[in-house]
Amino acid sequence: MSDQACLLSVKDLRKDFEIRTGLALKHELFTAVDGISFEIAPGGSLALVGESGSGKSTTAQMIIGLIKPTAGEIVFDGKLWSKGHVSRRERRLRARQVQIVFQDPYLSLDRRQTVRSCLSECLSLHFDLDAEERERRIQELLDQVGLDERHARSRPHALSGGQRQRVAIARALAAEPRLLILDEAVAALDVSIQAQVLNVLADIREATGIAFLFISHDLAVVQQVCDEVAVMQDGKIVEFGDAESVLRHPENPYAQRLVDSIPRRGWKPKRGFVTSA
Amino acid sequence: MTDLLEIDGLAVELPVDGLMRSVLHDATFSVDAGEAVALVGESGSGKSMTLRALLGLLPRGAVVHGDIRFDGASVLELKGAQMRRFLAEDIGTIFQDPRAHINPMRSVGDFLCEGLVSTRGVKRKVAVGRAVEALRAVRVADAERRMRQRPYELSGGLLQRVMIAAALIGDPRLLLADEPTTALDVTTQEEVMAILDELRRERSLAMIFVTHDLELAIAVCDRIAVMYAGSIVEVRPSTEIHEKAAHPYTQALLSARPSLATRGRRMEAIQGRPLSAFEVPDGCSFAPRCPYAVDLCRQEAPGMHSVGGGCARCHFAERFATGTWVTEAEGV
Amino acid sequence: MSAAQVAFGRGRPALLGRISANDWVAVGAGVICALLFVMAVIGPLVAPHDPLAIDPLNVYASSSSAHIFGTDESGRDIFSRILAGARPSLAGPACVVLISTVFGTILALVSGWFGGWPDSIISRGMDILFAFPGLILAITAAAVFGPGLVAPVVALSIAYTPVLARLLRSAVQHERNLPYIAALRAQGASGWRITMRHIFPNVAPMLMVQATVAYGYAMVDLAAISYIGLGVQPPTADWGLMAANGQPAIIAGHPEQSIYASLMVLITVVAVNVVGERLAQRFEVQGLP
Repeated sequence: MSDQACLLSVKDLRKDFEIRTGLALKHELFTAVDGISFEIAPGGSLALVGESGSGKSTTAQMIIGLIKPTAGEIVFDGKLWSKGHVSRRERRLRARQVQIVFQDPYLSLDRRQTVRSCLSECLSLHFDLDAEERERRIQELLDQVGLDERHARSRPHALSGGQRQRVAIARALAAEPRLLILDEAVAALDVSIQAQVLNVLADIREATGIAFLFISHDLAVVQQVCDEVAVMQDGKIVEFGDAESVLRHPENPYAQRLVDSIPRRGWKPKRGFVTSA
Repeated sequence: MTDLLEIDGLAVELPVDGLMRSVLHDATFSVDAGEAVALVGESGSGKSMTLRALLGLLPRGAVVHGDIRFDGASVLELKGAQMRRFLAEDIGTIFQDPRAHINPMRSVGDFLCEGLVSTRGVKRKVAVGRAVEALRAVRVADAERRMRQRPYELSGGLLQRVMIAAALIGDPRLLLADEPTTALDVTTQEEVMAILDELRRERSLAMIFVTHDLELAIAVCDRIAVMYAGSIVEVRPSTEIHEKAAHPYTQALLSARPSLATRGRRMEAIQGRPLSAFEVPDGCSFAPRCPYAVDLCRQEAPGMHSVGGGCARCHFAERFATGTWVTEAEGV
Repeated sequence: MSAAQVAFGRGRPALLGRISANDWVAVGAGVICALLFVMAVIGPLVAPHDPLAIDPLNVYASSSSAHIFGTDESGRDIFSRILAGARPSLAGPACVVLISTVFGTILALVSGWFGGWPDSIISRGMDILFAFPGLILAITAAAVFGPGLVAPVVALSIAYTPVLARLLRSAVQHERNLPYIAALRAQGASGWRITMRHIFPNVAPMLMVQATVAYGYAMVDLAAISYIGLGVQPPTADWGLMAANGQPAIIAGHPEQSIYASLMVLITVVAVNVVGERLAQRFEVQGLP
């Protein structure tokens, strides 16, 4: 795939954290992300799967710009993102390219803001709309995520976890990004609600052609919405391929273990792994 | 023969904002000696509340109706020293987040020995010996060294195994596990559940396993009790659930998990959100969300209907169990 | 005793639930605060006697219809002095709280939002200020600016700023680490907007509680400063001064001056604390259902 044809291209991305050990005079380097590379096509859907400590969330935070990479390149739509200081204007531009939905439905929204106010604020950050246009756009966003006027008037505490996540999705969509990062976005939701939100995401993808980067520890969820899967372990990608192959016939032993551990019909938990975990 | 544990019409009300609100309606089920029963449900189902009532850990001001009988004797009336002895001798508990339930300032050894020394009057040296044994039973390598370590030095999975060791150390007859693996990675979950399963069978321990993961429950338990909005809506042997689920909610839970089979298509998601017991309208608690609900469902709350090897709280349980799902058009 | 050195504590524990309209404690406290405010404004004007008028023939008089609270060691009417004393007694702490809150908030927001160097510099600066007991600063200020209310007020404001800054800084840091702030940053919102429109309103309830607690401490501190002669000067009426002046008379069997003056301080501190806490509850928006 040529650079021009892909939406997001990540090359040898690396993030080291300094950990203070002992009496804070020594610094140790902890490598959270150890030189990973992948691509997402426009409208594509990639899952980054791994357990805690695999580096998947750190990767997401680098792509959304909350953390600066130690090394490596992020190329969006053919343009290389600078690793140094990012101007306010540049940050606004990036906001219109990539957006993110976080895991915690309770803390992802400002508890003092109504839903309408939250969406309105984000719209005003990116677009110059008059009151009528803004209201129309807010209605559109609410429709896309399956919320109505009642929800628009509410503050987060009056909404359920699933509803709050929908608001978070609507907020992300307000910027009209081309890539949406979902950082364990359904992990904190009830099972029956997860299914609803996954449907909302599928509908949005079909309607807008937006691409997804799905960060998850839950392989079952990932297989529903993603075309491609990258399995991460200790900061590296250990397996990469289209969803069906990776989930049916993983080649890497760790990926195999991950797939085997999912509770499903006929499954029984088996021992046999290293006992230090 | 009396079951080991009988829960009979248990109902709990909690004071919320000055009003008494129901969080558990009429829970009735029993656990045989050596049997593992799962309480499966989403938020508001009342599954955790049931465990708390058994442990006497309800918030202040809670009102409890019904009865819980252990070995024939009522547990709800136990107070003080009697309650503590019951908890120490007969019950072992495993909580969801080990870091929240183990004192971070004290060593693993202290944690394991504490119950034995303080409540059972076991001598410290003997207790230490039993603690090391317990750690070995949960396959913790290098047990003596681990005894001296503090919780922060152990990973989540290891700490949860320490919690299991602590639950088993007093030789209980009933294990209560409240979402024991929810906070763990999936590979660690498998390891921990395998150990728990093995130990439970070795010692013929009864268990109540609270979880939101239906497939996990089916894999490790003998019977499943599905809970919704504060009531038990279905009880069924785990071998039967996939084929013969008799309640629409159970079926919905089974279909809610994505699989390769549903890839690329929309999932069958039921509308609405899980309710708490006090939000339930008249009639069947599941009716607002049930794709098959008819007028009867909204007017009259169904009782438990015996179907196959279990029972289900649905007017049409018999029809659902045979696998012929009724559409609204067909009616009663 | 400089209460400024003592940390104010984390504030009130978990909120006690929504306040109903029947919360007579809050209503009562509100009424008292309103009355105190009125007293401060028109006190001297409605006093039955001149607060400064001496009557050597009538010292230590007991309560009577002419003198509701009796008279002090110089024959002055205690009730009138209480009314007149409201102004300096209430305004002084108000100035301290206002100044220290404004500066403390600014420092906390800058420190909490930016972290890194600005945080280190500000925190160390606050630590240094923290080391000076309010009383020492007040004495120094009195030496520089002369006796009166201005010097102690300025000194206490300086002493209280680090306490408020520190408390607020941790609240700001906590807020700043929440996912919704990250979401706003991902939206490209500026630090200014996030801080003013989101962080500040969310820490404001805590600020309200701390400010009212500080008011109580400031009141007591200023009274102590007046007591040792550095603040309000006699014969000006001031509750702290009156409490001090009345001390020798207590043993002699005439505790009226000290008692009534101390009572006014007590009532004020309690009423202000209750109002502050209730206001904070009213404006606090719960995050979880």
